[in-house]
Amino acid sequence: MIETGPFPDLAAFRRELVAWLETEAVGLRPAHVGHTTPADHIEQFRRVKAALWSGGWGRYGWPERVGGLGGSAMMRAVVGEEVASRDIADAGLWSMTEVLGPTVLAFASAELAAQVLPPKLRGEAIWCQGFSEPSTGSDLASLACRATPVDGGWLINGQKVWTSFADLAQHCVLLARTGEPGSAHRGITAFFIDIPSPGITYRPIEIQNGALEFCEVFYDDVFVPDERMLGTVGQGWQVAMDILPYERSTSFWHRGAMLHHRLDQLVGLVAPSSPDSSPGSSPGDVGDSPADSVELLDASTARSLGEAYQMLLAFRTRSMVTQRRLAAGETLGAETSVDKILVASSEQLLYDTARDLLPGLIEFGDDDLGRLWRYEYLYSRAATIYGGTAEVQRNIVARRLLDLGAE
Amino acid sequence: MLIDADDLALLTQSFRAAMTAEPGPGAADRVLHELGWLDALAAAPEQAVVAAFGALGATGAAATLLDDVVLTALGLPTGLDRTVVLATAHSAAVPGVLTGDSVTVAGLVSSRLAAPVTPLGDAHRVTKVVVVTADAVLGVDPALLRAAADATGGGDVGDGGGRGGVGVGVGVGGGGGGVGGKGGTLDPQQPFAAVSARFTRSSARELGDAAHWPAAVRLARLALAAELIAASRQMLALARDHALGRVQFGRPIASFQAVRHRLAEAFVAIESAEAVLTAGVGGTADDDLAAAVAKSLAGRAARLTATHTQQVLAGIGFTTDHGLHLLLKRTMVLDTLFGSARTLPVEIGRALARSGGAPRLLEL
Repeated sequence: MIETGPFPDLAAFRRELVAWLETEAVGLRPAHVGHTTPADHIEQFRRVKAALWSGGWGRYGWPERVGGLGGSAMMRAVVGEEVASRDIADAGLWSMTEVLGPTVLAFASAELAAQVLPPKLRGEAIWCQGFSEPSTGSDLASLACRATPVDGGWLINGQKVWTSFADLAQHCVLLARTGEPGSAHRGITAFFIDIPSPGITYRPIEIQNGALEFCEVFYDDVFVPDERMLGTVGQGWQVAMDILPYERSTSFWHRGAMLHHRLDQLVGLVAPSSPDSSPGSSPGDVGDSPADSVELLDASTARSLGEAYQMLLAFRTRSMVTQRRLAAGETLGAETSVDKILVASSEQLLYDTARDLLPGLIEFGDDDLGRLWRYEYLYSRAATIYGGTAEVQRNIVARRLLDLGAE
Repeated sequence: MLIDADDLALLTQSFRAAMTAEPGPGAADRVLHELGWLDALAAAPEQAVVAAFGALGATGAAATLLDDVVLTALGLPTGLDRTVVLATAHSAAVPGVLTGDSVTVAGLVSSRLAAPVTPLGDAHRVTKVVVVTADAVLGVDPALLRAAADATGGGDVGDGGGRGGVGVGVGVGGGGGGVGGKGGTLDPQQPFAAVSARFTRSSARELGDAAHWPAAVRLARLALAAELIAASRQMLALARDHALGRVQFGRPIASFQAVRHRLAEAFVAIESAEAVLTAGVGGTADDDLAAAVAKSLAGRAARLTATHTQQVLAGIGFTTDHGLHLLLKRTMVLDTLFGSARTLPVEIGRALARSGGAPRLLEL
């Protein structure tokens, strides 16, 4: 049974949420469409989060001690899906709350959680994730950024990279080495860092779609008080691993919903006529009727749409089972690497399909539509890199699910 | 009606045990019918087909259950004495075309009709062949088709004219259960054969409502998806065992990432198909679309799995000393039935165009 607070079930929750979103539609519409700056995205994200908080919708699925209204995390998945279906918030920004929020809730002290989560849920605070380093990508346990104990806290020294929104964030969930250099996953501790803090400098890195989303971040004797530690000394690896089930439930669901919405749009662009949506048509229509144009949709185009759709549906059905398992209290493990492979490969297939079926749009389109698809096409290339590369996921499948032994 | 998980597990288990004990052509059919396969099919069609065809794929048994699936979905009585002309390879279109009083059939028939070796005995001799057209469901006398098959020796389209104005050709190859490639059919373990025939409507009996054909296609696709998935898992299991035991360069080849990733790729494809099949069996907003996607993904999984496992099995997997070729041939045949991994995405893409978007099928 899914806990849905004052609503009889998730479907009822969705109906009321949708009704509310419709009445607020004009106010929530983004000022910018297509390629915009991360600062624009953040401004829009904050408006949407603030409105959802005021309406109560953004508070379901979070406990009361951090300002929430309780209920299953699946309520958050529903909100994420409806937001994605309206294109009113950047998917990457949206996922940051879903990925980091539950873990901070689990590992921060009660006081810290009550202090930092409400502004996060209201959209006032942006967080970033300080995990990757120049020499630490897939091999996260090798990270070198150090935290050394001082009176009342810790001093952070080192460098992080690929930190999304570091220049626009107020906080960073940071992993640092507190053990000996060779202590691998045992010697890592997690901290909740304020930005700016004395000693933090950063340099934005332009990504291939033109966005200044990433930063490399330098920590030079940055002081963090003891009470900003997440978990205990040496528990950083558990913090990092704790993120996995959250990433692979509400966050993936949001991504999948956004991709479904894009496929809706692609179908509309490629096969604009549809008998279901044109009230004038009837089965007996001939000639230029919408039904005819559908039948005439050439096999190659139809096949490309069908192949993109079936992969997305495979992800959706798989992800739904994963979320229901999580809601039922099951522990998620290596099997969610399949979800990860599916969401990444369906994202890339979808944008490859759009590139083929909308000839020249991504390469030459100079209107909002062109900018949007170009921006997202280029971003989609990272889907098999971030959050554990495609190769790491296949290693996990081989080792843990196929039991092929050690490499 | 749904049956509960325990009953379903029991049914699956008993089907598997029976098929393992009596895997041969005809024998598997008989034991399945004795076990109440038809009762299960009538009571809970989706779950019954997944249990039975999953067992077929897992055991490699030869049985002609697809006839029962299609006949049941058409609302017709079924049994080992009846068969139905299936859609032609890669297609799900009705196999019969009615022009005036003339009926032309081009489709596939199962070994109930096609294989002279089927040891069903006289008690199970096929007495009726069902042919579906866009407007009618017709019953035809099978003796004429058999006679034509014997006369032509299999493979060619013959002309059995002179007997009630019926012209029939049934292509049956490799009928002796030999190795595919020698005869006229790829997979002698489940010899579906192409059939083409011509007869007058007045020589057939009107049996039912052609409006049920899409339901038959849907149920057949769920069944075939289940068998493809189970057979793909068998291929993967063979390759896994081989990779763990085969030593090259002083280590099991399973330790090489290139090998591991091929097998992981196959596994993910199989799991994709399974996820949509399970959703399709449980009920969605568009069950026809869900079944089409499940069958398409299952065919895709089988193709990928066959490619990767054949490569991992290398030399031995290329021979008839090893079991892979049986699974390869079986899945190639299953992939062509009621739409393939090649043709189904076209149908699915057109369904998207008709609905004006990408149907979600399921909500949280």
